[in-house]
Amino acid sequence: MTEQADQPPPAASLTEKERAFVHKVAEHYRRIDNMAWNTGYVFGYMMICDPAEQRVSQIVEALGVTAGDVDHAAKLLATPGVFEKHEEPGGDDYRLVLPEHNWPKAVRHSLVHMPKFHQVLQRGLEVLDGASEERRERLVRLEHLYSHLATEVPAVFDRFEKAAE
Amino acid sequence: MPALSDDKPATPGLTKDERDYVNRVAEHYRDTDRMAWEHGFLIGWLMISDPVEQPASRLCEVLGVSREAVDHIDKLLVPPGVLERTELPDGEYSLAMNAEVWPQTVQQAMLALPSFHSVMRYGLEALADASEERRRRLVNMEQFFRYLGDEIPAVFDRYEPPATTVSP
Repeated sequence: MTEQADQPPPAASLTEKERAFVHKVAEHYRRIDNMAWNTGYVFGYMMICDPAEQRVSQIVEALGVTAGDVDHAAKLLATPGVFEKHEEPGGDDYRLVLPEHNWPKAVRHSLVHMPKFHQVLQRGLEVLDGASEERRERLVRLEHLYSHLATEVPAVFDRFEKAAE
Repeated sequence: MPALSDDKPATPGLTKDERDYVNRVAEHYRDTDRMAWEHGFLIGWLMISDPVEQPASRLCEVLGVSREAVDHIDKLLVPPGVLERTELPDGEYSLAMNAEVWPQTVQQAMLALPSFHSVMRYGLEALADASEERRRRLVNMEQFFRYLGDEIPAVFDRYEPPATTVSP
């Protein structure tokens, strides 16, 4: 959830162009996922930082965000496999990196859930077997859409991967 | 984020089959969005509830969820139009899933994905003079989102919505 007082961080050590890019990334995720500014800035920064691998303390310093913000972004994006987290031995610091091929894989991961969701909707229609049309209409419409997406969307990714080979 | 005390609600007012379905929906949103159980159960139930329109207090009763969970779902899904909110005379409100809006919302979210392509293009301009190694992350993503930008709209071009099933 974003707070009312949520503001973009200063990101004072970035060049004007870098900051403009990171801001656009954060803006995009704010619009789509209601992502907090600081989280979006960490995400955008990990796409262009130099070197690619950064300690938490470096990210905090570059962007003017808190270590808690970096932890939050790391949790959010390490689970789907976008970021990789490398623990530093003997300390509570760690390094983050966004490996170049991970993101398409992660987007795929979230979208290939569609066939599974389609199966869930089919189960719903079974449960409502014999119920009134009015009650079934919500599921009928969703099942119709997801039966299309369940075939089409994985095929989109298969073609992308074949083309990339 | 799910709270620490995140548990599956008891669903005292649901049949065994209804609970099974609602639980599967909640599992899906847990896997994809890390959604709290109570929230997932509410979405699942609003897909199959009878009647379609459910007062907030009724939702708490039937599912055994907290009032905060209902208020959360109200804030989350009324603005995009997936749920319709009706103010009731006793100061209460009710929620009803709009079967036509949800597919449109899915479509908008998927079509917004390729719009990220222009952000990646901008990034490549911003890093025009940077090393190849530094640019590689963006080059890959620009390619990927350009591809999705061609393919995802085509997926929806090929989609034919169902004929209206229920007359108003």
